[in-house]
Amino acid sequence: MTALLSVEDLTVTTSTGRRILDGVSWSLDAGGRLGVVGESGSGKSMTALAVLGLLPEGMRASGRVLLDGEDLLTLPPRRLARVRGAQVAMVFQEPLTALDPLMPVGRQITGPLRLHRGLRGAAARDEAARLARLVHLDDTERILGSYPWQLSGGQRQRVALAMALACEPRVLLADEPTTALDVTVQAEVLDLLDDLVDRTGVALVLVTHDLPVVARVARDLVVMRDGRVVEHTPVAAALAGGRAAYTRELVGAARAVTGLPTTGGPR
Amino acid sequence: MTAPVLEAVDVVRTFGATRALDGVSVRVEAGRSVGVVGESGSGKSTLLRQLLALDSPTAGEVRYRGEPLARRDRGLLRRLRADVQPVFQDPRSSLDPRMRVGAVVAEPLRSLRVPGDHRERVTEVLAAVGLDPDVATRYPAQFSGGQRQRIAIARALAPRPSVLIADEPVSALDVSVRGQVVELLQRLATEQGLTLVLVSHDIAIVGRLCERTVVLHHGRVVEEGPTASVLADPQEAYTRRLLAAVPQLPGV
Repeated sequence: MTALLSVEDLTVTTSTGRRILDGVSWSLDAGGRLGVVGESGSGKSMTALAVLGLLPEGMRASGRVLLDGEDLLTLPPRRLARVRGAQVAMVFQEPLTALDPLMPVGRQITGPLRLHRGLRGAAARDEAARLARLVHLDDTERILGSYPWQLSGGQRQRVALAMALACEPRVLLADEPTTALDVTVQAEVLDLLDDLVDRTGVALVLVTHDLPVVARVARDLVVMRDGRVVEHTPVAAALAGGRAAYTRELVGAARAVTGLPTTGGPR
Repeated sequence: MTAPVLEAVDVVRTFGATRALDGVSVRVEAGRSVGVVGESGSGKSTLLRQLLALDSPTAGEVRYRGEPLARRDRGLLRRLRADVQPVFQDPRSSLDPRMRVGAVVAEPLRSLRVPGDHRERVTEVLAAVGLDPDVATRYPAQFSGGQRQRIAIARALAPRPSVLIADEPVSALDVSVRGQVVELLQRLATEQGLTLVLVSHDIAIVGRLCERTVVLHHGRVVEEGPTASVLADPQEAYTRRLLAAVPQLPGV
């Protein structure tokens, strides 16, 4: 079986010649769930941006990013723009940056429906309502008529997910999608992500610093450090003691710091 | 029985129609550690500002060593400023980038007009947080997040406070560094007999550091008790929901 999305020897260099990513390779099968973890400066977000062709000014990517065998790095900008959103969709940490503050969220969801799927009028509105229900935005009418600032952080991230799924993408790239949320809301959004991947069959790339979050949703794991892939392994194998020392270190630190002490309290 | 170092008694703080704190009582006993856990909108930051005397209650009162804090009591406030020191979440924004580390750490000594050799005290507190004395001549930007948080803790320790009030002290740090800063706070609290108040959304961190846990929700204390029993046997539905939501690594 060939991979749906594969990153091969991806290297990103700054204008001064510094390597931000150095030979990054991993692959994702259709319907797969990949977690990319690393600490700050590891290059995990840069990998996501490179896949989407959204590198900051002055940075250059080499290697290959193959979606169904087609190299996204060599696509002309206009073709890439059509892939982005339609086939590879994204969700970021802070949905406010992805949402237009001056437009009701319903119209923001119908935007991509018009652009990529050619839906108009009532058909677009009905589909937007269906997507809102898909991401469990109950009270659909009111929410679709609201501006982003009138919604809570959790509701905004659900709207961002609805927009991302509007075009039935094959890959959903989520960069720290729950990091800015309260822990109880985070749990709801993670359950939703889990459920969406099951129901829509979209393949998930979840980029985060938070190993327990990855463990909750992903099946495979890429551990990054200093722009390189340290290990590419099933999540379960990493938790049972990864091959790489750094993976074991990360798992140990996550257990020590984010684990709830069973006895509780010091001294 | 001696009075608690800090005590909030039925504190209410309203902002317009919002009751950010709705009758909150919390006791902080000398030499003990208390964690205040809550999500956004719980009122934990408002409570923190009350305990630091950066804000006054709409009703109720905050007491420092048994004495109600009143705006006009300059002497009492001055004692509190020296004795109760804050540590904030993001050392990048709480450390002045134009000041050398030595000046940053000595700043509370200067502003509180603490007598004695400031340079010597700076060296002492830098050593206490595990930093070399020569970092004093460098700038905060030259340090990693974990080291900057150590610098922020050294600054808080400089005027020899008996209470540290830490607001999300490790939330902005990488996980591998978080453990080291938690250990540092734990060690300092034990070695120096500090009273520790930790305000955080992260019940796991509070679980590591604090003997008592206070759960805040919508401006009210919904549960309070020894950390071990709050974690193992939560009485309130909200506490159970909070605990269930914490992402955990399966298996041990």
